[in-house]
Amino acid sequence: MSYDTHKNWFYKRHGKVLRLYRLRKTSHRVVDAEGRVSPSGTDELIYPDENITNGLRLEYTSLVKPFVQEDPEATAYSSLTETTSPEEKTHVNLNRVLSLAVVEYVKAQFAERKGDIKAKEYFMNQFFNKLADNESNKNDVFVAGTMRPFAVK
Amino acid sequence: MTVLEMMERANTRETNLAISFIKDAIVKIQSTSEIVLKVDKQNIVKNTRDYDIPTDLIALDNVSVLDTEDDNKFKIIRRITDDPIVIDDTNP
Repeated sequence: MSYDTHKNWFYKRHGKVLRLYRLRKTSHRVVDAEGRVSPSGTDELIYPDENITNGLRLEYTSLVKPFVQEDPEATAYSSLTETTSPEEKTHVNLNRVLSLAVVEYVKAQFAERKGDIKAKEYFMNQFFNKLADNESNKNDVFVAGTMRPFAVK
Repeated sequence: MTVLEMMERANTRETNLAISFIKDAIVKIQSTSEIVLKVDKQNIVKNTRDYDIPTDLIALDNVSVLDTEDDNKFKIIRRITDDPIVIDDTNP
């Protein structure tokens, strides 16, 4: 029976596996064979000591429906149909700002193929700017205040 | 936006290459920001430390473990920054 899992369980990424540990707390003082008492209990990390069905949950980013048949800005996400072999008419499953960012990325890659590193760096800069715009759009709240001469009193 | 519109904006006619670059761009975006998150659940097995990371993972957002004593809630667990002293326990 797992309890306080947020306090007692830990993980570490190790290559392609995730290592899971449980913290075993020992609060009592331990007396050794020669009668010496350790100053305090020892906490140690142990392997999981119980079976938990579907007990480990990982949340991660992945390539989920990168190309879809419908326009993602006009269709609910759950109704989008993935296309495994994209072509020119296929929609890229991103919002407008991120789609524009992707355009900058594509420009950068083509510039690099032409050997134009300065242009590549410029377009990659634009790519990251648009990513930043998209992130800040999640947080920014525009508050408009009326200037004094027009304020209603 | 369609692939064609992106190609026109990028001034290219190489469809397959453009699609490859678009895929790369999406992977790059997903590695820095979460557009869509996926969930994977696995059984925790007694005395087993290592669990497979999903093959399609780009970036790990969080890891949680089921708290069976608290109404079966998944609670986010913390990452260890240092390696534990015991590298492998043959008798866990």
